[in-house]
Amino acid sequence: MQLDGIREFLALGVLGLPAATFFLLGGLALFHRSPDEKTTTRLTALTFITNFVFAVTSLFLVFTNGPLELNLGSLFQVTGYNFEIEFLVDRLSGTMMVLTTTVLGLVAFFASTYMHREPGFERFFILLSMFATGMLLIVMAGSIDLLFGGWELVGLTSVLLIGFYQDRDAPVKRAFAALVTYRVCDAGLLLGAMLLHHYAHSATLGLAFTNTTWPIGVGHMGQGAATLVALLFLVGSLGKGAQLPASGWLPRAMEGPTPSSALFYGALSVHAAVYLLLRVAPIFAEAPVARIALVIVGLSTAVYGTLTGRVQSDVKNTLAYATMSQVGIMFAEIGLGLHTLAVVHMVGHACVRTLQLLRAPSALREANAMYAAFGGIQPKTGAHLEAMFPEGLRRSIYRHALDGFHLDALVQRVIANPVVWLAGRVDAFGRWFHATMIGLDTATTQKPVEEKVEQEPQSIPRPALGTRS
Amino acid sequence: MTRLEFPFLLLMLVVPFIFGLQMPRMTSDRLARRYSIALAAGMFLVASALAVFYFASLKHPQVWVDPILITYAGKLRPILGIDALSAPLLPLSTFITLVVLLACPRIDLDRHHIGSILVTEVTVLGLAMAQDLVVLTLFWIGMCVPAWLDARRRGDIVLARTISRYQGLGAIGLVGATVVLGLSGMHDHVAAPLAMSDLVIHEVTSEYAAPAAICLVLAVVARGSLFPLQTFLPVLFERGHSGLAALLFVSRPASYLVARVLLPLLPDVGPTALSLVAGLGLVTAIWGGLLALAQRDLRRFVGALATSQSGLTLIGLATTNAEGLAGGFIYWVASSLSLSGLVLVVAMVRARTGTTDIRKLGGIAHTMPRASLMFLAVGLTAIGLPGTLSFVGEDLLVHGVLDSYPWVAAAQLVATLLNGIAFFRIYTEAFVGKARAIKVPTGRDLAPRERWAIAGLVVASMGFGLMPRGIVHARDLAAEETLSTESQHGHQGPGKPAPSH
Repeated sequence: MQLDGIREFLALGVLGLPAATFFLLGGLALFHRSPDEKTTTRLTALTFITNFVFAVTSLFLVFTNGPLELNLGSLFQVTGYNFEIEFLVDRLSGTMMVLTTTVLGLVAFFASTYMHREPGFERFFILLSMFATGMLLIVMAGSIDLLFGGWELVGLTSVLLIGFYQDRDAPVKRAFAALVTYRVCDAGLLLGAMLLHHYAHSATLGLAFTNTTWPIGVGHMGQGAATLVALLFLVGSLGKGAQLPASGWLPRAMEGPTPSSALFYGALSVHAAVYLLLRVAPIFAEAPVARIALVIVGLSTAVYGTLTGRVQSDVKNTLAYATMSQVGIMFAEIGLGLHTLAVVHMVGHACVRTLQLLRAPSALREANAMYAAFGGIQPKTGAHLEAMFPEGLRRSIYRHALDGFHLDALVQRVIANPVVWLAGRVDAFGRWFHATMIGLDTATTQKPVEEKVEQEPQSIPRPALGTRS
Repeated sequence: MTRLEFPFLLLMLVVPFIFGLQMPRMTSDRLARRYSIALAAGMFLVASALAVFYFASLKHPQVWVDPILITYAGKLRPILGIDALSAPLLPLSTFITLVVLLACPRIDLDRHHIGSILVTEVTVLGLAMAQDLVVLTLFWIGMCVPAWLDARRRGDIVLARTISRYQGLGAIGLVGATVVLGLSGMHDHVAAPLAMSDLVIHEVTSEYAAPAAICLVLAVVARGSLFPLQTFLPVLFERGHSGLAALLFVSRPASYLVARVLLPLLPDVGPTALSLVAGLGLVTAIWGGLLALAQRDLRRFVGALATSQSGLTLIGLATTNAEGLAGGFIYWVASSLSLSGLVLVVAMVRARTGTTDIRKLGGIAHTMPRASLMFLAVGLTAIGLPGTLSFVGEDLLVHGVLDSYPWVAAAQLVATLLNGIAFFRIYTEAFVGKARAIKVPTGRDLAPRERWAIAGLVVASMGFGLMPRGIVHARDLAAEETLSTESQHGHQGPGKPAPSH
């Protein structure tokens, strides 16, 4: 009984600490009372070190005492519906908790130096805490509803960090592109969660799948329903996992600060998609069609990622395509039912890719050092693909790979442009209809309102702390 | 019995009405602002206390908030009162009024505007308290009069005509429905044919029910800015006074009419009429989302978002199940909080830059970081971020709609998706990125009173979003009350019966 209490405390601590840090830092920022760099760094370091200890202990206790299900009651309840706050710490989530807290701690430590005196230092750490909260919520959620909450937080943080450098147009535009991809795919996840409620009468993992001890859980929805729900979850995972056809945002996302690139697109955010698929694996087990789709998507992305990655001239872009490719292989592994292999692959890949991305800013110096160490001879690696294809085909492949196989242009033409066109027509029709309704012409109704501008300043800028008049 | 016999309900209407009429005669705008803020703060406290008192009365039947009664057909009948539907709307409306008076740019807040805001608040509160069809109709019609007069005073013929034409149609619908329901009551010898307490017991016969429902749907379409009259809210937000637009959006008369009249009084034709409302709500929600995506003007964008969210609220109310209804009610509150914040931040930006055209703005976060942060924070509460009240509303809405209209649930997600994308497009175009034509001098960022007022809206949305049990329970009670009235039609009236005198 006492041990259960300790385990519950540890689990709540893992999630609660970054959430508390986020609310503290975010609240202070909202009221424009952000602490200095040193305080921010210390607070974040304390949070993530404690978190790591709690996570490791929780995982150890999972291995010694079995999984922990923690129900904190309902967030809200109406007649016929109850939104449960339920957490699940089992082998899968315990492993992810340790991975998440380890990488978070390392990245926070790296960022405290990397982001020093960078405009938006506090903003970065607020977003880091928000991301930690969201990611841990995904990992520890005992229901798909709660998982979706974390999923949205991670997506939002990702978008805000891609557009971190707000004074330039390119990061902002790329952040918007990532957001559109996320929102479209997230709709699939949300609908999948709703249908899970509908068919399994619960989105709680323990109730939707008869056995909560991962990976042995069994769904009981029937093949048709399971296929529909699984396909929707697949759509949901395409965005975060940067899988075809929703992969275009990942290389563009490298506009954000390097620590956030490592955290999101090397270590954790992209793997959230893999985690989701592993978590709902019992539904896929019931849906062979969805598993085939999963394998096809994964393998296509793996091939696409490796071919496109080969023609990149930027180290972060190359790493982005390599990540995409590896995540694709993990999708295929899950589709083939190799769940344990997928977990090992995910953890190993997250660690390696984080290291590579954190070292990316010094890649040129390292390449020079390596070149010098080899005595000025460039070792030839990675030529296995060249050996497989004839030269003409190879050139053709690389020419198309340079433009990402025109995928972005295709998505733009087939999806984005028609929606924008439709929105324009809707607006034009609305303006015409309104003008007709009130008996005026559209030129009159569209005449802008005369604007008045306040002349006197609203607030006097406060001098920076430490300055003297 | 602990009874609140003091006529608070009447005073909440009379005092601001008198103040509102007297405001233009004040000696200075500054004095008018001070008096009005003090009055609005007092109103908010009283409204909150009344709401708390009402919900306490549900657990402790000896506690009771007295309705305002008049002798009608030889018997005392309530014309104003509080029930589960209206109780949370009183603090909500008064809170938004207070925030508007605190945060609206001074340039937009002269004595005339303050007077209009206070009178509009009276009509919003009156509509929420109305227990009689005639009273409800009067407040309904009166609600847009200050905005119409304001448009005429400013010489904005487009807005004045928009309000008169669109709202005229709504008024025709409601007056028609009131007349038909009254005739039905007279035909069946109901003692007080226009008192809702009597009408809810009396079953409206089919020959009267159909025309009444048609009239009500017309009123709902016109006032709810539903397809094909969905162009009202964008024009109101684009050309109207920010504070008045916010208050008119908060009042949501169409949603109120569905919950107060269509559902409980016309259960026989209700399903057909509600299916129609749900269908139009869905088209409107998607239309509003697309419209928001195409906008280059911040104010028109907020109007488009309001149109979409108005449609979503009505879909929830039309589901006739507890989840959908509660979701609709929660979404009503959530979108009121967040869109009021958005329209006010936009007004602040306009007061400093002289424009709301995003092609001219761009990158103003560099000189107005606080305005940018507030726009982002309020916007996130509008598009269903987890941890905000709109997330709770959306979750309940989708669950409720999935039970009643499964395909509508999927289409509804398209609307929320478009809203989110449109918001981020506007935010990235107007606030971040490279600075464009408009250069805002430093030192023109939000003043403390503006920041605190908008932060109050964000905190309210997040506070209710993280701890939603209280408000969800309150709205669930309203949903249950509405549903029980509908299902037990002829046996029981809405809320508590009036005490015998």
